[in-house]
Amino acid sequence: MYKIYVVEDDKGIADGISQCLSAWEMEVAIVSDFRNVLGEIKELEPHLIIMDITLPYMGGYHWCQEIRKTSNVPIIFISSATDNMNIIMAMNMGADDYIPKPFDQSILIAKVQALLRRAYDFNQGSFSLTAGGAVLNTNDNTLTFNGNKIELARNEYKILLVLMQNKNKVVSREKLMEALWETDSFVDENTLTVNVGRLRKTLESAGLKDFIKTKFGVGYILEDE
Amino acid sequence: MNLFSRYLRSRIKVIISYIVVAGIFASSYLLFDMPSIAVLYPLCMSLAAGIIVMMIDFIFFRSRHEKLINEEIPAPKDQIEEDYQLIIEKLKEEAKFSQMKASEDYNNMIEYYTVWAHQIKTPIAAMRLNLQSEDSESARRLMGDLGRIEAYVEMVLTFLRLDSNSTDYLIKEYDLDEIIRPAIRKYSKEFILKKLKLEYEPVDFKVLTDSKWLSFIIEQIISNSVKYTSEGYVKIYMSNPGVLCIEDSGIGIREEDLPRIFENGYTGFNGREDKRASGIGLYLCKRIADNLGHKISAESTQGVGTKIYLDMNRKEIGIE
Repeated sequence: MYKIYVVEDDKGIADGISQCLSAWEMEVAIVSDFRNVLGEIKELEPHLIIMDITLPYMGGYHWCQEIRKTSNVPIIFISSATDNMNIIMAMNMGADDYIPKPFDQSILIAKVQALLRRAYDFNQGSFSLTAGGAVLNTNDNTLTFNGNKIELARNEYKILLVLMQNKNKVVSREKLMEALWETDSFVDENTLTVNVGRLRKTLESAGLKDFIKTKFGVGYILEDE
Repeated sequence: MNLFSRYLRSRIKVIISYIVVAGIFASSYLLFDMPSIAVLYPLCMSLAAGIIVMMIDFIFFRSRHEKLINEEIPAPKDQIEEDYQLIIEKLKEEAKFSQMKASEDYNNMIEYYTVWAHQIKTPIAAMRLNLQSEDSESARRLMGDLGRIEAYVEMVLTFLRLDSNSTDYLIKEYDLDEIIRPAIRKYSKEFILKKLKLEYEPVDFKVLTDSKWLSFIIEQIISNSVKYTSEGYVKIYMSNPGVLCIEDSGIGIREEDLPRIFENGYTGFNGREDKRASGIGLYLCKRIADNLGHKISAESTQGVGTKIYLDMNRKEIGIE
């Protein structure tokens, strides 16, 4: 389980980050003493650090430099400053990525996963979601079930990803459409219906019948017994 | 010569008194029957002396005039001039002071607005993150409104940056699709909520521009399209080589408003109906487009829809 250390003074954002990373089974620790960031890092040994630039007492740039003296742990900066100067500064201080506020959960997750993958296990499919005995591999957009690897089309993968992330919860059609729009697939309701239909067929041919259930008038649900 | 005649006019009192004195002398000499040469000779002599003195005086006059033109103040000649100069000094001081104060106030304001815009982004970011984990109609509506708030904040920042001399333009060749896609994504929630159809195929066009500023223009146009379209579609395509067209099936713009929609503060009929309109979005678009060397124009039929054209063609600039 990856440990993520969040250095952010706004509680709303820190909690938001913590919530969305926990869904991916990462352990999130939020800073408790802004004067002792280095000490907390030493104690926690996180796999990745998410840090704001403007912090109480000492800024993010300072901590970043300090951390870099002893460690190569991936650091992502988040900040409301979007000018090129700040981004360049952040990178020069040894940060690995920069996310301007406000940002979407999906962007945060994608960047965190990419950095973890690069830093710790290049080949292993470490980011996977499971439901009903099927495993969704986020590295190569495939689903493994009963030892068979099933190739998924882009939209199929994305739909299944959202459903598995929210397993045992009803996911509205709007939410699925939003997720598809995030990947630049600007579908309307009819196209979504077609895509879900196609996905069901793919799943069925792999032996996963009725994997996705329709909640009429609301959306879809994926139940994990 | 002009200056000389002006000089003469300023010395008119001296000249007239010379003529009057000369006349008195001449007439009284004539009355006493003295030989005319006795009066003409001294008169001519004093005239010659007068002219020499005047010439010298004129030279001084001219040099003072030239100094004053260059806003240098020559040493005062008498009490009156000194009084004037004191007043001028005081006015100058005051002008300098109020100018300094105005620019300081302006800088403070800009600084505050900039800080404010960054401050407000933090709560927006927090709300966005937390709303995203909620899958409901109301969360989606809030998210849409939050997107609008974000856009307004971006507008403030753009407004401030537009005239700031520290504004940076990074003109490079960009892939237009890379700029359009994130702009669409920003409004995806509203598209989905309003069930608007988006017709967009990659335009596959390379454009010489600044991506940040062009993004603002495209986002603004899409935002307007979504805002003023309640059903139907938004289409994004190249209408001509180098001309991007964003078309919607919205309420359209009145014919009499159309020529003025890019003016600062002009809201037109639609804007007056919709109290939120500030009339600043399209004005900023136009200003930015001008700065980038793009041309923006509009075509609309009321009740049918609006087409906004963004012409990104430019005359070939020779690169050495």
